[in-house]
Amino acid sequence: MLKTILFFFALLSTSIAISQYTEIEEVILIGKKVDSTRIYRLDEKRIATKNAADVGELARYLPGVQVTAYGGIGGLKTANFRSLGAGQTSVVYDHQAQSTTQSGATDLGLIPADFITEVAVIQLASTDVFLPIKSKLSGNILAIQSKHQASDYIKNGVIGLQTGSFGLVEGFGLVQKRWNKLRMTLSGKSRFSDGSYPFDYKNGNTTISSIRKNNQVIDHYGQFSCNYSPSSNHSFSMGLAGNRYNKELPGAVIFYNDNAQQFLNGNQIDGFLRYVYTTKNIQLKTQINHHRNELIYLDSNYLNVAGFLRNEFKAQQLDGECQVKFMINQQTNCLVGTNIRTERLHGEQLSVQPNRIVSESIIGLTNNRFGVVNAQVGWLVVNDNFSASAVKQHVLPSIDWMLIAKKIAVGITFRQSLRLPTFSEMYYQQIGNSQLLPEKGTQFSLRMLHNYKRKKSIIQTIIQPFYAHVSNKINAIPSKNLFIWSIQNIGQTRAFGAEVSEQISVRIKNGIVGLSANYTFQYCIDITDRTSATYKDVISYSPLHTGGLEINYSCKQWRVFSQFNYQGKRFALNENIPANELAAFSTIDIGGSVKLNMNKQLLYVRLTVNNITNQNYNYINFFVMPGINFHLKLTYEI
Amino acid sequence: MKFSSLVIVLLLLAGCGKETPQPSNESPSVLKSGILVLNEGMFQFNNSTLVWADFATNQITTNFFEQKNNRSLGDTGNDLKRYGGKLYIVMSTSSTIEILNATTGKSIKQISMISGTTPKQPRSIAFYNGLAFVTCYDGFVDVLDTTSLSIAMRIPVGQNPEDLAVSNNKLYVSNSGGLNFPNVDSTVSVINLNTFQEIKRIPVGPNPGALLCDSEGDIYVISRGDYDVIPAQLHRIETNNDSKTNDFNFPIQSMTLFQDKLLINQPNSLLIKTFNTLSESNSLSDFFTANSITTFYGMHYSSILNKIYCFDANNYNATGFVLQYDINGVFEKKYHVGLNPSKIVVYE
Repeated sequence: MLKTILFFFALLSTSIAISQYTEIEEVILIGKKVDSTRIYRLDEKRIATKNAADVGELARYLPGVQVTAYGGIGGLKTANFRSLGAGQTSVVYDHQAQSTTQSGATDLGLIPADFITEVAVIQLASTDVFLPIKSKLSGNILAIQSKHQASDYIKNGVIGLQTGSFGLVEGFGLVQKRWNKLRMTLSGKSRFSDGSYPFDYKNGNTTISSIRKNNQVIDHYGQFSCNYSPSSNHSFSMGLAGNRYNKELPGAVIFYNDNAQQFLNGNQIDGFLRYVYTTKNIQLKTQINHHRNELIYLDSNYLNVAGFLRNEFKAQQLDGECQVKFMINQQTNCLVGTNIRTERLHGEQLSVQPNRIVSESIIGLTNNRFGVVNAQVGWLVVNDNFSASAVKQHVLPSIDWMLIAKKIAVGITFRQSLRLPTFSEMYYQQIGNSQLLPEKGTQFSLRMLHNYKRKKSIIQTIIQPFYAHVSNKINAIPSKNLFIWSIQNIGQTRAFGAEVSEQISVRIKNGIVGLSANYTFQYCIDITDRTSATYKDVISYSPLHTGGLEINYSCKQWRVFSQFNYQGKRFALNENIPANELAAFSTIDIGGSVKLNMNKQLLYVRLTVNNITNQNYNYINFFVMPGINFHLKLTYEI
Repeated sequence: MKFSSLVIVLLLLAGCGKETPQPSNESPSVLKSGILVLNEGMFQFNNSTLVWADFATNQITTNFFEQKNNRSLGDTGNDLKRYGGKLYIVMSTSSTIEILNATTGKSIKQISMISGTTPKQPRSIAFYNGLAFVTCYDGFVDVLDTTSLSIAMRIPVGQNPEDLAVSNNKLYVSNSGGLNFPNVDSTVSVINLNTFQEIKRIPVGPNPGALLCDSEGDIYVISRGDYDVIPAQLHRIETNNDSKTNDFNFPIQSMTLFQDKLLINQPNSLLIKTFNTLSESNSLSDFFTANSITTFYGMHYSSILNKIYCFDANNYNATGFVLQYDINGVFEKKYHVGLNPSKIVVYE
C-alpha cells in the first residue's frame, strides 16, 4: 500500500506542472501591524497540514486551548481555554455564534474541518462588528471562518475524498459562483465510519486488549451562503447550514462490561440574514439568526419497563442584533450594539418547558494614540420565565491595552465574562436547579510579542502569562445519595499560568522550514471550600504542562510535516491522589502532501499517519483514543 | 510553654499518631483481625476499591483487591458479604460478581452477569442453604450455587430489585423501579425458597430500597419516595402472613440491625437513633452523634467485635472514612478508606 502511494506521489510530481511554496509562514506580528484581537490562530496553510476531521481536532493545536475529546471520529469534543470551562468559550462560525441553549458547550466534532480557512482564539475585539455581542461577553471566543466567508477565496469549486482507518469514507465538495456583485457558495460533506478500533488499557497490573466498539458515525453536513453587494456601501448576506448525524456512543471503557448500546441522533439548522453598511467613518451591521436543533438519545439496554430509554430534546433560538461602529477621530473608533435573543427547549425529561429572553448591549472603544486600547462594557439582562428571580442584570467591563514598537509589542488584558446556566442545568428532572446563578469569570493576562525578521527568516515569540478566576461555578454533585445528583453553584477555581509560542520560518534554497512550538503551563486549583479534601487541589482534567512542536518542510510542490503533542499528568477527579492520576502522554503525527497546479486547477494529495508510535492514551479517563491510524485525502480545486 | 509541657504535648501527638492507621503498600497474606471495606467509587470511573484495615499492624491497604489480583475491581461495587470461606462482591456497573477466597483475598472466580447483550446490573446478595441470591436490575433474582459457582436459575420479580433478605424460609426482595422514575415500583416480592417462585407482592411504598430481617424474623424496608415531596418511610412486614403491618412516620435515610434494635439515621442529621424491634413502637431514642462526618453514607454493626461503623462519603467525590464506635456510641477510631465507602466485612 505504502509503495503504491509513494509511486503515485512520484508520478504526479514528474508529470504535472509545478506550483511552488514560496511564502513565509504567516505570523501575527509583522513590523508594526499587529492583530491585537486574535491572540492565536491557525491559518489555512497550517490547517492543511493537520490530519483533522473536525474543528475539535484543529483547536487542540492552539496554545492554552484544552480540547476534551471523548473518542475518535464522531466523539464529543469541547474546547476550554485557560481552564475557565467549556461553557465560557463562545464558538463563532462564520460570524454566527453557535447556540448553547441546551448543553452549554458547542460540540466541535460536528463542524467539519474541510472548508475551514481560519481558527483563532480571540480574547477581546470590542469594535469588530462581525463578532456577535453574545460572544464578546463570553470568556473568550473560538472564531472559525470557512471558505463561505473568506473574501479572498478565488476558486470556483472543490471536490474531495478521504479514506482511512476505522472504515472511514468521506466525500466533500464546494461550489462557488461569483458575479460582479453577487457571490454564492454551496458546500456539503458526507461521512461514514464504522469507528471500531483496537486498544490496550492498563487495568492494575494487567493489560487489557480489546476493540472499542459501538463507535459508528454517519453524518451529513451542508452549507449555503449568498452575498450581494450592490455597491461598496451595501452588502447583504444570507446563510443556511445544517447537519444530520447518527452516532453510536461507545461511552467509557467499563471493566468487564463492554455491552454499551447507546446512540445519539440529531439534526441542526442554522440560518442568518445580514446587512452591512460601510462608509469611511461608519460600519453598521444588522443580523438575524435562527437556530434549531433536535437531539435524540437512545439507550437500548436501559433496564426500565419499556426496555430502552429515549430522550428527545428540541431547542430553538432566534436572535437579532445591530452593531454600529463609527470613527470619532483618526485614532478612535467607537461601537455600540444591542441584541435580543429568545431561547426555548422542549423535552420530556425537563420539569418545565423553559424559555427565556436575553438582551445584551455593548459599548466598545478602540484607540490607537498610546498603543492600542481596546475596551468594552457589556450589559446583560436575562428574563427567565421559570426562574424565581425572573429578571437579572449584569454589567461586564473589559479592557486591553497594547504598546507596539518595531519588533516588540506588550499588552495587558482585563476581562470579565458570564456564562448563563443552560436549560438542562436548570430544569432537567430531579437534578435541575432553577435558582442557579450565572458563572462569573475574571481574567488578567499579559502579552508579549517579539518579532525578528531577516531576509530569509522570521522568528516570532509570544509569551502570555495569565490569571483566571471563576466563581459560582456550576457543578453537578450527588446530593441525597450517590445516584441522586443536583446542579449547584458551588465551585470557585483560580488559575494562573503562561503560554509560550514560538514560530520560526527559514528559507533554505528552494524550500522553507517552518517550526512552530508552544508550551502552556497552567495551575488551576479548587478554592471552593477550605474544609474540603480537595481545597487547593488541581482541578480535574487540568494538566500542568501541555505543549506541541510542529516541524514542516516545503519545497516546490511538496510538503512534509511532523507534529508532536504532549499532555502532562492530570487528575480524573479533583482530589489529587495517585488513584485519580492520569498518566502523561505524547503522540507524534507525520504526513506529506503534494500540491499540483494544472492549468489553474489544483490537485492536492495528502497522506497522514497519526500516533505513529501507537501510544495508548486518553484525554478523559477510560475514553480510550485510537492507536496508529492513517488518512489519505485527495482534493481537487477548480 | 515550659519544656515539660512541650514534651507532654509531643508525647500526646506521638500517641495520637500511633492510633491513626497509616497507609501501606503491602497486604497481608492471610486476613485476620481487621476490616475489609468496599468503596463504591463513581459511575463509569472503574474506581471501586477494596480497602483492608489491619488492627494488628494499624495499617491500611487502599488497593487491596488490585494487589491481590493484579487487576482492578471495576465499576460501582454495591455489595460485599462473606459466606463460608468466600467473599462475594457485587459489581453493579461492571455487571460481575467477584468471588474471593475469604482468607487470602485472592480471586476464585469472576462471574459475568450479562444476559445476551444486556448487562444485568446486579445490586445485592443474600445467602441461604448453600445458595446465593442476587438482585439484578433487569427484574430478576439470580440464584447462584455457592459450590459450583454458577448461576442455577433466574426468578422474575418486580422492577429493578434492589435489596433482599431471607426470613421464614422465604426471600423478600424490594422492587425499586428506580429506572422508571417517576413511575416507580412500590412492592416487596416474596419468594418461596422451596419452589423458588414468587408467591406474593406486598405493596409498601414508592421506591423500596434497603431491606433487612430483625431478630424476630420481621422484615423492615425503607421506601425512598421521590427524594422530594414524598418522604422516605420505614415499613414492617409480618412474615407469617406476608402482609405489611406498620408504616412508621419518622423521617429515615438509612438503617442497620443492632441487637434487638435498628440503628436509624435521618436525613440531614448526624444523630444516630435507635428503634426497638421488639416493642415496634413508633418512636425513636437518641443514641449518639456521628460528629466529624461530612456526608453520612450508611452504617454497620458487627456482632463479632461489638462495634458500630459509620461511613463518611466526604462529599461523594473525595476518598471517605469509616468511623468506629463502641456499643455505647463512643468514638474510637477513624479509617481513611476509598471513594464512597458503603459495605464492610469484619475479621476477628
